[in-house]
Amino acid sequence: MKSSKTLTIIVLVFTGFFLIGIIGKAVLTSGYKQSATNIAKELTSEQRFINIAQLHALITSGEQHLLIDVRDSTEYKKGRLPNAVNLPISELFSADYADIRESNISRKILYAASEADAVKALVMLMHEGYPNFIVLTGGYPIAQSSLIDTQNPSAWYSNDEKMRYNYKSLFKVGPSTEAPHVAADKVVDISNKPRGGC
Amino acid sequence: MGPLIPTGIVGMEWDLFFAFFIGIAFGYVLEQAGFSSSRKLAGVFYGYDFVVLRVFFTAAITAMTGLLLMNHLGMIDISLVYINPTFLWSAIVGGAIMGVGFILGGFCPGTSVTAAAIGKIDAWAFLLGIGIGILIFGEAFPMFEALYNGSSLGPILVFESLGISAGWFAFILIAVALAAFGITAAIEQKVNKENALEDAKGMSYVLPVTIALIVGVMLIFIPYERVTSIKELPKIEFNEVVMSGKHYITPDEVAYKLIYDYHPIVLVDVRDAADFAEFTLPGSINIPANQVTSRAWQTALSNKEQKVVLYSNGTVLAEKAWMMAVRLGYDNVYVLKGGLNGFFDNLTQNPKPKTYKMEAQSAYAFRERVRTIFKEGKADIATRKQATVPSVSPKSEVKVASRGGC
Repeated sequence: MKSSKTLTIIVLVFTGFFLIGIIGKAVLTSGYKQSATNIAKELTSEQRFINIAQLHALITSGEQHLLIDVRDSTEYKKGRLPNAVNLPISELFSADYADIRESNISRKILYAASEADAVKALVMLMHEGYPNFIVLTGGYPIAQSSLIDTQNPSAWYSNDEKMRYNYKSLFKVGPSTEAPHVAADKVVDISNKPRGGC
Repeated sequence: MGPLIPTGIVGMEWDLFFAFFIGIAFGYVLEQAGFSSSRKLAGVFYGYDFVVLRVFFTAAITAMTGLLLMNHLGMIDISLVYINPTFLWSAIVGGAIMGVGFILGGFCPGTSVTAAAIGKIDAWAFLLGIGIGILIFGEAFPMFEALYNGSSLGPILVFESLGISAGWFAFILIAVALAAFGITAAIEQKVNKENALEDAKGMSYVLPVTIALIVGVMLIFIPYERVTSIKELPKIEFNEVVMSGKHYITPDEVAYKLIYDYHPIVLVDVRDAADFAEFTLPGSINIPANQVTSRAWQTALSNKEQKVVLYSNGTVLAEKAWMMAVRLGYDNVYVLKGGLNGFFDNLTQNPKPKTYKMEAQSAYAFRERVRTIFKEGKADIATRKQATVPSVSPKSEVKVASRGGC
């Protein structure tokens, strides 16, 4: 039986080219489990975050959750949120803490001295593909003082990104009205006009 | 041009150079495949020759496979690929006219150019007809305008409308194409009887078909998403950089930059556009945190000469943007410690240092000066900025990269 050699060779060359590419990509990049674009999207949405008021509701309702303190063990020993377990950020992936990392509780709430530190832990865990981790906004000191010590709801919605000053009124030089605003991409938008084709 | 331009091996300006040679190769292949013969082209409709259909299917699945894989490998920027918006009524009416013209004239527009190039007189007449048709359409356009723009559906994609993934759609299309090859071959055999596929008699298609199917199955498992770059920082290095905590710029340094323009810092506001419009530090550019990974900002973020300082109202949002920037390999990106809140903390309260250490004293003196400067309002700070910004303007994108045509 005569086989279609040329065709086979062409198909094989193309397949080989892409197989090499895929293998090369797997070797060259160090295998992040989630793309940067996806993580950026999740970090800027609400879904990965819980504020102190929501945490309070969660605790009182008795729903399943796990509080994880990612500060050092010395700080953890000095004081922590009730029922929190310790997973130091420096030993995030050590075998000793595998049970915390891999527990299949649906809400694993990370907190640290600051929200930024907890976000660091979250991103590193997301890169390894661990699911169900969320971050407590505000960080430990605010949670400790407003939730545990005083039950004072004034800080329950505390948000690091809240404006604490009226910037405009304080900053006299301000941005001049013709401040150079650089457009994101100078897209020549002609998308709503049909074009081309045969 | 495929893997070369998006990965930065050659510049955008080479586009036309490659287009010229690809065009020559395209014309050659089209001619060799028999697309300059109207007998061959019309054969599809009479059932004696399906070469055209096979070529179209092959082109479609090759391009599709290539796009999906190269996008996955970061060799191509799929967001630059132009997607023709769908206008339902003009597509239906135009398709009908095109079909009639195809059978009557024996060519479709692209192939008539090929045929004209090898000197077929009917093709020249066909091209002349196309010209006249375009002229008439142009002159009478107001009559057709409602139809022309009717039922606009936007740039919709089949797999999105069906609710399946791009990979599954690719697999199904490959399977359909292979089935179509088999069926058309059978039809040809029936219609022509004696000389069907003379040169391909007794050939075995088992191997190519298997490989094509394997590629199709592979595509199912390849995620369809925009890949920004393949040169990401290795995970271990990323963790080290993130944990080291050496990425903070103090509010003092930013104040220094605002007063003395020559200080090598580029300010980047990562809040959303509304906040940016409300207030921003003079000379800042706006890159919302969720767009840091967009290729549009590659030039701005990969600034080697000046520190790129991200800031938001607090620290957290800028920190998030910074982490993704680090992951994408931008190594000169920093975060304003405390954000705008921290910056204004410094402006509004400046406790007198209790020690007489030189450092503390001079920091105190500097902040006092900054305070008076910003309180009085030095107009020249705002006006001076314009000069610096164009150097960090993001890569401009022109969304007309590739367009239809046959």
